[in-house]
Amino acid sequence: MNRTQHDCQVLVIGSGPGGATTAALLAEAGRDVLIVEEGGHFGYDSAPAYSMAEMDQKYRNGGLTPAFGKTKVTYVEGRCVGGGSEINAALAHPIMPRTLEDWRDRFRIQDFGPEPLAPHFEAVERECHVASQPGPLDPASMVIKEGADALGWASSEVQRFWQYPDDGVGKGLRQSMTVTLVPRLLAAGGRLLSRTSIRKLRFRGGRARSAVGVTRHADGRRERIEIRFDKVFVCGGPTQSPLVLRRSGIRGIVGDGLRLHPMVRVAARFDREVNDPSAGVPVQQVVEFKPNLTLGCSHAALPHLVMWLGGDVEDREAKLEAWPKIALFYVLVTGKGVGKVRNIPGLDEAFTSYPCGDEDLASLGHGMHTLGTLLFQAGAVELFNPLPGRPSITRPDELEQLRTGLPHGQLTVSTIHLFGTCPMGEDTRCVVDSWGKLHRTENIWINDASILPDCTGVNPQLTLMAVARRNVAHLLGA
Amino acid sequence: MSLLSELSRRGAQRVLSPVVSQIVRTLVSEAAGSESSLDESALTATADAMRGRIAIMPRFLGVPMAGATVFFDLSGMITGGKPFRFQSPPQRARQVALWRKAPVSFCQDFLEFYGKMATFAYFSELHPEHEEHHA
Repeated sequence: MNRTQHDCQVLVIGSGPGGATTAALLAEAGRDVLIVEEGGHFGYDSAPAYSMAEMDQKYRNGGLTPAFGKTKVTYVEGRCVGGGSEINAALAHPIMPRTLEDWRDRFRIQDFGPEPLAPHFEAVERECHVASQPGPLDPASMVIKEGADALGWASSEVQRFWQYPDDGVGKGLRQSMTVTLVPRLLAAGGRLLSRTSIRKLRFRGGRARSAVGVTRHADGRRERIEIRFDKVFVCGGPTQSPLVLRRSGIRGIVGDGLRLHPMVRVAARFDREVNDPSAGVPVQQVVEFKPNLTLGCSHAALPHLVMWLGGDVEDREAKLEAWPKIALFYVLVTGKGVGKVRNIPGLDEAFTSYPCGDEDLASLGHGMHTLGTLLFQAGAVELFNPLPGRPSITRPDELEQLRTGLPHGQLTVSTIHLFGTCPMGEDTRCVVDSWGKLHRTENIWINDASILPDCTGVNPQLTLMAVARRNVAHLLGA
Repeated sequence: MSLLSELSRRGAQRVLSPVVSQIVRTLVSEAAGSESSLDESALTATADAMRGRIAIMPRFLGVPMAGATVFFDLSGMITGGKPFRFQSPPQRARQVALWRKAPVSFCQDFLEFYGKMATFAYFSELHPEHEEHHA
């Protein structure tokens, strides 16, 4: 069957923060860029944030994909133009300098670290309007702040990729990729092909020459395509980038080093109102224990709260009636396991495994105990037990059950941060070199979260965009 | 070929439909704390949403999930004398409790998937004002 042919100088596969950054900067430097995205092009306001409609529209697999292991970890990924930036909390948390230094030393990444990256962090923050939320903190953030202050722990407000209105009227605008870098790409003459999945790369004479895939049109028509290029950037994210490479015959250690931030949510009830979803995403985090442990609060409209109440709850109906007294908090740790992404033969789907083992469970248990201590300090009267079938926790001395002997397979563990499936550096564990170029190939780069070699310990979008920017700058200067 | 696949899809939906509806009703009433106050139209929309969710799962998960749903229904013949979809509310609650205590983690995963997603979908239907634009 014939394939529709496209030609470009640079093909970018994936339009999340890594792909959009790569494509926009190359187009602005005069390159003929075509970016393809498996999901649709919806825009930031096409569905209410964190709703079922948004999950159907913008999330891969409708929002729930499991990484298999002793304790299953459910992860979410964006599948739309803009990728994860369209669906995440838009938090822009700077990575700790010592984490960058650690990566540089362990993975032998050249010209890498806080100083070489500083101008790129500054550029991303400036261009994507990283800013603090104006006005007072929302009530759930105040719980975190008050509890942390009382215990002498450091906490701080995390800035967001957000343009707040100068006059203070209205909520402002999320600075996702469809608002920032995708328009820049198009203004610079770049092209965007949405609803297009790339199956594999084709090679001739030792060089990747083209990519083949399918465009799924809105009317249901499927059009087979082939895109010829000079250079290709694979930016499909930590599960999809390794799949494209492995389907293209590039296997070895590709997809082997999956790292993630396991996360557990805990709902808590207070004798005062602590939940105002109209105030937006809570932004306060406990930073005392970073990068290994982060405590914070989540967006929690009533449908989210009910979903996470869990446990064995007395007088559930009455408590739900008074739902503004309940807020949702999270424990996020740097996972110690190393997982894998593989393609299932015959299916274009990722099979992801992650050994969420005893060490990760112990970290989560310690985190839940620490969070519980903070919440009781801030006036919580009830913690809804995250362990199924167990009664609520109403006194600090009952928190010990969360710390010791957590059974595998019972805790609901999820993640929104994945990394490391194609780590960067000159070490033998690395799939790409210090600048994102695939080892032992001539014209294939990876420039997404899969090249971050280990857990960031913070929300990764800012770090990822700065690293992607650095790699493109290196290519353009080379 | 496409006609065959359409027929098999419709057949699967016909088998799954009543089971999914009853699983949704049981788990949502548990999460809401009462069955008496459930909103029928929101329940119907939730059951539709759950069937849609299974349909868009990756095939290596969606096919086993559909199979597990049928198995869950039929296992009611052992625990309650008839398939889950024909049981009374107390019998259904008993079967759910039995599956939660089962030593196989798959049983808990199955109920967690239905419980969390159905609860979220039902309360989203019931309280659309809680869905926020551009948070």
